[in-house]
Amino acid sequence: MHNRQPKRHADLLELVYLEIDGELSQRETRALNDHASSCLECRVIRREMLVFNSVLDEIKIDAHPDLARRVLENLPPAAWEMRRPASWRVAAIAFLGLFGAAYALTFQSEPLGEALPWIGTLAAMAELFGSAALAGAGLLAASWSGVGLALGEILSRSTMGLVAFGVFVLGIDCLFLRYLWRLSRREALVPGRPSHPRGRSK
Amino acid sequence: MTQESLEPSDAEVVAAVLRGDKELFGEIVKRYQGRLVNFLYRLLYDQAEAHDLSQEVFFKTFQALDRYDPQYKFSTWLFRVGRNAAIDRLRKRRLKLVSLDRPSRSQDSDSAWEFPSSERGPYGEYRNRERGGAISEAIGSLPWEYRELIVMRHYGELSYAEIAEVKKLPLGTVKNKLFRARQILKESLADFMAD
Repeated sequence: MHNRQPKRHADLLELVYLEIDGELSQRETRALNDHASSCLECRVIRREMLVFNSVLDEIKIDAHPDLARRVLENLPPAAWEMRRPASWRVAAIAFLGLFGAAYALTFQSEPLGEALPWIGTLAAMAELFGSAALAGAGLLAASWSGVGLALGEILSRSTMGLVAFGVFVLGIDCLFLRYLWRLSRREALVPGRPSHPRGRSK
Repeated sequence: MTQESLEPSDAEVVAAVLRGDKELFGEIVKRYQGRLVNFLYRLLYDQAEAHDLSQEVFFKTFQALDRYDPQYKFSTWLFRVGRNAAIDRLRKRRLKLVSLDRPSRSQDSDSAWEFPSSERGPYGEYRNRERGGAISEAIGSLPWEYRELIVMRHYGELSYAEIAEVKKLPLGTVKNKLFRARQILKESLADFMAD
């Protein structure tokens, strides 16, 4: 805020507003006080403004005593509540555990001082994950081909079965589209962040 | 150390809520409910609707709490949501006035707020009502941009910088408009400022 000196009464009126709103620095307030102490008109303006402010305050209402309780009791579920920070912690702990196991398996017969560089551990880890991924993929392929065989068997029996399956798939699609629509609506309702860098908190 | 400095900041309370202490959101509500209700009441002129909307605003901020950036003031974020909600509500109200076959607000509102009576004896009641009515009318008859700023400053108790942030206006413009708005109000309320 610029350093203002009250030169004219028009300026002073603005300064008085700022003073009442607590927007003047100590130095500016001192300058205003110095001026007002020798100027009757300015003292009158100041008093008027204080009365004006209190008049505006007269029509303030109290918040209902139950408001906070009602808000807390009816808080809607928030998307962020589902994303607990513990979820990534579990993954991180599992990763570290696996890493530790791989390290122990690789160097179990050697003293630490003679251990190979870390690259060896990483290679062992990669191998471990590769094997796990292969096993997982095999399991998935097997289960999908099983599901495919079962479905083929059911659908080839009658046309009604085929129609029922079509209706089922369509229903799933509709549910998914409805979910996407609700998600986009919720995004639209979410307020944006303030984009101005002014007025930052302390 | 003062009592105020011992209180956790808004950002700290929000962080605690996000960590799972949902009940602490009540602290945020208690801090802002008075200012928000007054702010909305002066824009909507309906006490029950102001309370309904305050609830909605708190719900919206709760749902988007993970998007709050602690480098900004929580108040500016909350009041921006409140302002947008009030504008939406006024727009809907105008549409309802046009559509004659729709029920009125009191019929479709399911929140029964009961407010205590503020009667203070026959003389006081009459005088206060007259004066209060004049103040309300003077604020209500201000052009929208001035009215909004006066309401933000006096009833939302926002600082000039906060108003500038909520309204996305330069600080100087906020000062000038507030100054002008108060001049208009002062002239309208000249009769009531003598006592």
